[in-house]
Amino acid sequence: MSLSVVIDIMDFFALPEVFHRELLKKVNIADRMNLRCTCRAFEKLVANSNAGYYESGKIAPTRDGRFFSVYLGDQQFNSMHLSEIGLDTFLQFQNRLFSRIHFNDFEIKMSEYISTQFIREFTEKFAIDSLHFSASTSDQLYRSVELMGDFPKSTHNLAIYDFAPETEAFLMIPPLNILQMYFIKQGTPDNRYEIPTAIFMYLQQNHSSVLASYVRMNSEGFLRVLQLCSNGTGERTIRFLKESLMVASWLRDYGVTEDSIVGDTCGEFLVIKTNIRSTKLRYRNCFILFSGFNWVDDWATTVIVTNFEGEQVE
Amino acid sequence: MVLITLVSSDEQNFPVERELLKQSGTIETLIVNMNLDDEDTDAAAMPIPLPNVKGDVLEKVIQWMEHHKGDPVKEGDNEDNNAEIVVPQWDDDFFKPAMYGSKHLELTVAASYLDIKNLLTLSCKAISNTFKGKTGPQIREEWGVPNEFTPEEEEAIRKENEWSE
Repeated sequence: MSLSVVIDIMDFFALPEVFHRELLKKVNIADRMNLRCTCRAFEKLVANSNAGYYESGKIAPTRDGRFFSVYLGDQQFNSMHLSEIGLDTFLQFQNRLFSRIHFNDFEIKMSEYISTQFIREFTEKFAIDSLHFSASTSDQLYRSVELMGDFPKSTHNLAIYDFAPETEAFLMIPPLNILQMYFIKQGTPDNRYEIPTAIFMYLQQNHSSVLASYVRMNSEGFLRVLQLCSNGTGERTIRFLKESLMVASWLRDYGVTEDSIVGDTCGEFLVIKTNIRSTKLRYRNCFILFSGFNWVDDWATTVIVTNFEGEQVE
Repeated sequence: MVLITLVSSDEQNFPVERELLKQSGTIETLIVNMNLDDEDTDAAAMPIPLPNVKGDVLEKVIQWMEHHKGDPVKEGDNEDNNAEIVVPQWDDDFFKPAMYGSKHLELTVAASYLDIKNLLTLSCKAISNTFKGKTGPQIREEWGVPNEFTPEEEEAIRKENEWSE
């Protein structure tokens, strides 16, 4: 449709403000970028309007720490220089795209090159339902916890990877929806970091879901973990890795053996499922899946415990 | 079937089924305030004046409400009204003939004045869809907007947009 055909073109800017607000909330980020190229009035409208609701967003540095990427709903921005100038330039650009935006999920991958102050300014116009942080150093972990305080209405998730925090760092983490800890790179099976049982039990009581790599635990400790989970309020999920031979030893301690079949009860344990790749038990309110479990091979078993019935996903 | 008469700014009368008017927050409030739902009130004898809506626009609004009879009525400001909303085919065909014209503007303003949230949402979305995937110059041409930017300003905006994929 061209101007020569349409004689009666509406004066878009004569519309009431409520209309502009409603309309711009429905224009995605990519189209907002084009719209601001149209004229100064649209440029101003784009900058001063709510961009609406998006399922997800993310800010993350590249592996080499030279650049950073930002995902805002439908739009991805790449190759921005991870420097004070680069960050400020992007901030100014973002300020020209909306005055408010709402995300269901937003992930902040922390970096030593991205200051807390920048993240505060970057997220100033964000409403976030579920906020995820990823931290790979102690400093990043502390800063993540500090930033969580800026979003009291959001639920928080934290992924700690590639380093083992000190005990006091574990203790200062506020209640989370999901706490993930991946320390696989910390060493070989002989010297890798395993979360001590006491800390793991503290964490499982404070966070709805605790997903870890290896945990230092014996059969008594695991029984205590199950008791805490069974008594936990709300839905609780625990997931960690353990060598199959160690799991086999726990199960024998509880009276469950290679010969146990579905329906067998061993003390408070009930065998729900058993096959060559996994074993599922019930203990009080808990459902326990040993995924990838084998009685004789010493590979890693994923232990998943929930206090509700449902699919236990690895 | 209870009929309520709406009177447009150019004094045209539109008898409308009571049930349809639940979609309009403004008219619903007037009906309550005028006690038109009371059995003792002769609703037919008490027309509702709508001084901000012309007859031809009100006719379109009623046509839209008739098609959407029984749809859930949206309440409050919902942030979920966003880029993901899909305009149904019937509504797309309904808006299309006057999409870029002042009639669409008047219909949208009427939806706002009458507080018909679903109509306002779909009307806004239909307009925002006209921007979809278009470049600045294409939007300018379609909406008859003059280019105010200098070549240097256009280049600066183009450079900023290069970050995106």
